[in-house]
Amino acid sequence: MTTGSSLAGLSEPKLRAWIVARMRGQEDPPIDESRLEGPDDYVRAVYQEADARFRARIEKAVIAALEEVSAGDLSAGSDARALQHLSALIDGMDLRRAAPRLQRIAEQGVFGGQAGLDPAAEEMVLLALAGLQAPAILWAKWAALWRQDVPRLWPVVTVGLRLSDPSKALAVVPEAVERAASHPEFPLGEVLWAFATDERYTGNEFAGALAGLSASALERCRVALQELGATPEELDAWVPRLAVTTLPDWARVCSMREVPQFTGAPICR
Amino acid sequence: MSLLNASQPAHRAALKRFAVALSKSDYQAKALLQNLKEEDRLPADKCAAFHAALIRSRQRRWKDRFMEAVPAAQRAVQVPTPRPGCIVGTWWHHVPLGALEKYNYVSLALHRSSRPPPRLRLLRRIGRPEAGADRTFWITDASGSDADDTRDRLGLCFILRGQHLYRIEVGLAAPHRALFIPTAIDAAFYPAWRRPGAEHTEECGMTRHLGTDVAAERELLALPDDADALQAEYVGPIKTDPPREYLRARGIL
Repeated sequence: MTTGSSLAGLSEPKLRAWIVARMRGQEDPPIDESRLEGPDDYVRAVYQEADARFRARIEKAVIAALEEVSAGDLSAGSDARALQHLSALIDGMDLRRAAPRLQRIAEQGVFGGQAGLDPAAEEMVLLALAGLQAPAILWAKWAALWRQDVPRLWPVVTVGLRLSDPSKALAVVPEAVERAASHPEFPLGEVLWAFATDERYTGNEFAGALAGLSASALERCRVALQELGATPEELDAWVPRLAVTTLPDWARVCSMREVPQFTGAPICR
Repeated sequence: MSLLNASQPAHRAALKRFAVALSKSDYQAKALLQNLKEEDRLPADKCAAFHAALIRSRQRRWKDRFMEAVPAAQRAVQVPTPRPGCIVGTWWHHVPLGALEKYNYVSLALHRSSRPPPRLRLLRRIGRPEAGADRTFWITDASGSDADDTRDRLGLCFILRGQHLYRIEVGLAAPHRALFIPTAIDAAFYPAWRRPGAEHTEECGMTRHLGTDVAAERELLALPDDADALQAEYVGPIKTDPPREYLRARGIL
C-alpha cells in the first residue's frame, strides 16, 4: 500500500505512473465507494499535507499524468475514467497551468465540434476548464457550445460562460429560464443560484437580467430558487416582481412592431 | 471468534500469511488487521465463506484478494425485526458536495467557487448508481450544524479542508426496510472504522471520533429506497484537516 511518505520518495516518472494507475483505479489505497470516495481524494489529501517542494513535484506529476492519459482512448474505459478523476483533482488543486491541456482535451469533444469523449469525463473536463480558464479568452467557444443542442452540457456551459465573462454571461440567464421550461431536467435553480450568489455582480445586475421575463417565467425562477433554500429577502433582491398593471403573458409575447399593421383598405371585388 | 481464526485447519496457514502481510504494511493495512482481529459478530458460515473466498482467490496482491473475498460476507449482520428501540427518529447520510458531483448525483451547474445552496436536488437516490446494482451506504442519527465537528464525530476521515458537507435524509418509516450493523468486512479498508467495544449493547454500529477514537454516534448500513430524500441539505464548510489522533490512540501511528 502507498502512504504520503512513500509517495514523497518516488522519482518523478514513478510518481506520474502511480497517479495514472490510481486514476485508472488500479492503485492503492483502496477506495470506499460506499462513502462516495474517489481516487483523487487521496492525492488531494497528500497534496494538502505536503511541504512546498513536494507540492510542486505533485503538480508536475499531475500535469504529466494528464498528458499521458490524454494520449489514450478517452471515449470509454480506464483512460476515460482516469481523465474524469484527474480533471476533478486538477480543479480541486486549482492547477491553472493545466488549463491549456484541458482545453486541447475538451476540443476532442463537443467543445471542439467532435464526439470523442466519454460523457462523464467530458463534463468534468469542462467543469475544470471553466474554473481554470483565463478571463474572456474562451467566451466564443462556450457561447457556441451553449447554442448547440446538447442539453446534458448546458449546466456546465453556464459555469464556463459566467466564469469567462460575468457581464456578458447575464445575457444567457433568460435563455436558461426558457430552456428549463422545455427541458424539465435542466437544473434551473442551481444555475440561477450560481449567478445570483456570484460576488462579482454588483447591485441588482442579476435581477436586471431577469427583468424582461414574463410573470410566469419569473414565478418559475422564484420557485426554483426557493427549492434550493433561498430566503424571502434573497428572492426579493434577486427576482423582480411585476407590477399589477403589467401586461398579461399573452400580451407580452409580441412587441409592438410585431403587431400586424393595416397598410391599406381591403380590396373589394 | 476473530475473523482471523480459521475454523478449518487447511485455512490457518494462509490466514497467518495474510495477517503477516497486513502487519508489515502501512497504517490502513494495520487498521484493517486490528479490525479483523476484533470482529467477532459474524455467523460461523459467513466466516467460513470469507476464509474460503480469500484463500481461493488467484489475485496477485493481497489487497485484491481481500476485496474479492468481501462479497462472501458483507451485510452479514442484519438489524432484527421489529427494530430495536435505538433506531428511531431521523437518520442521515453525510457526503461532501464534490463527491455528489463526481458520482453525478447532482448537476454540474455549481462550481467550487460558488456559494453552496442550503438544499440541492439529487438526480437519483443515494446508493443507486447510474448503472449496475444498488450500493450500500452509511447512515447515522447524528446531526449538527458545525461541519468539522460532524465530520470528526462521524469518522469521515477522507473529507478534506475546503470541501462542503451535505446530508441526505433516509426514510426509515417502513418497518421492514433492511438495515445492517456494519462489520469489519463492510468497512474493508476504511481506517477510521472500528468495532464498538464490549460496553456497547445497542443493536447498531458506532462511529469513531477522528480526534479521540471514542465511539461517538450510532451508525448503520442501508440500501437505497424510494423513501429516501431526493435532496441534500447543507451542513457547512469543512475548515480543518481531518484529525488522525484515532490512529495514535490505537497505536497504529
